[in-house]
Amino acid sequence: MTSTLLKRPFTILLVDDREENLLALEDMLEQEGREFIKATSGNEALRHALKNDRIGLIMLDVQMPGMDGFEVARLLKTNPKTRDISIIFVTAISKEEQYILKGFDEGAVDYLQKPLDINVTKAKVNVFERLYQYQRGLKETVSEVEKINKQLEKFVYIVAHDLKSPLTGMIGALTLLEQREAFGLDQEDVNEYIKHSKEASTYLSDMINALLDYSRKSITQQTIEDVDTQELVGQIAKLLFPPRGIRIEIKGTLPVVKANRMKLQQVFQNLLSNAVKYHDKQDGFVEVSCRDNGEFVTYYVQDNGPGIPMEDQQTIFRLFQTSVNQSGTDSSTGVGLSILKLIVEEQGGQIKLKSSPDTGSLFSFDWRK
Amino acid sequence: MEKRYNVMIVEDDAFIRKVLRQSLHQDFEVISHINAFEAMDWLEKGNPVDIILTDLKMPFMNGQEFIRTIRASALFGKTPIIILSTFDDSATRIACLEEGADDYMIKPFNPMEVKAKIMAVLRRTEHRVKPSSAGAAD
Repeated sequence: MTSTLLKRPFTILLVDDREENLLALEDMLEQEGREFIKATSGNEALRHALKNDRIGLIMLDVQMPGMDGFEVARLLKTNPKTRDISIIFVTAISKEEQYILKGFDEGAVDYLQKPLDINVTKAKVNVFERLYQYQRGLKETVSEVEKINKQLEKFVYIVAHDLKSPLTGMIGALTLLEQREAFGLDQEDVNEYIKHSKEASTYLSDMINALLDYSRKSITQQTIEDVDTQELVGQIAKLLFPPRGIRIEIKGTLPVVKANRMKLQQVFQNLLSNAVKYHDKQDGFVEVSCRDNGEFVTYYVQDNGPGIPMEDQQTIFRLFQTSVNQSGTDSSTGVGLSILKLIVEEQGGQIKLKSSPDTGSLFSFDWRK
Repeated sequence: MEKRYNVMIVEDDAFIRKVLRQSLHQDFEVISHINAFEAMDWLEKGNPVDIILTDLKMPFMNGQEFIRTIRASALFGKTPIIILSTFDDSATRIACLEEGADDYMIKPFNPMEVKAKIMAVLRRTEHRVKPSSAGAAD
């Protein structure tokens, strides 16, 4: 798993009742990738800590009028929102203070002795910064994994139910065949049920292949790389060998995006080959274009083919749903589109379809840059 | 002529629709529709329907909405409804029965059992339903 998020700045909250100490600390720790928030009292420090969820470290003066540093730390440790923020006490270290320090959770709490030694202070803060970045990376990975697990769970649920659909037909048909007299089947019915059952089992087999293919890609191809989509679409278009009369064109220039190449390729390949396969016009075109959508690029695949009937548009992304379009010319299954949906959704995008018999079909999908 | 019950099948999968029709056509008048909208249209036009066998996962209007819409009707609100679905979790079954379904069957199904279940639900709900005139169109 690669974390795609950029390194965020390391935010340090400096707390001291004396302005000049704050400035000195900031001066000492100033570094690229760090930002500072300053507070001159315990109350102000708590307010910042509660409001700002990016604080990675608090440098906390112990001796302050009003609420002292230990009290601030105790309050921070009782609030789930601020519990995990690391704290470095800045203290003169009396015997009594040493004793109190032991009462705090080890690891996320440390102390520095006044007067501050520049090198020790810098080194300690560096360690806490590394720790923070590392923990953040871990948290992101965990939440990414959780998200993918949820999607997979949903996917398995849908697959399981949609696998049952062709089986339902087959089991019903086989029972009818078994008791053909009782159910009044003539020879034509018998032939039809056999044909249907054969088709249904071919669907099931194709679908299992597609699922295996998908899972293989997920396992072996986890690297995120720069993919030049202009080049990718060009290659796919060439390799599809579109029949005479069908043109595949790119409108504008398609960008370079960060992607799992195999998966993005599967999306384009499916959409383009479907557009070519179901084309019914003498002069056909398939046009690929894109639009910048902030975090995502939205790609469009437009054709001037037969369009997809309204009643199929809602279900076409379901596993096993095939459109009436295929009119027996090809035994393609609906598996492809449902897997495309999974691929597009697992990286946060959406896949959509607009279609009418007059204008053909327009598929669009978002890909994270 | 012997009066026959009108069974309405609502199912979006053509093959399953055909298997159901074949399973039932000897004993019932069978009308089938591919979605709940078509089925509602048929019912609202006053066509005779004695029992409804419906899928749950359908485009446009799902099975639960369909049950609710039927039960809200003064004209045909008492028609017995059997759900035939791949969803086998008890939460879905309970939800459907609470909406007003009379029974629930799970796919894949045995055609014999579907037939027997329709008979059983008709017996149970006899006081609600009298066989309507036969000869409804497909």
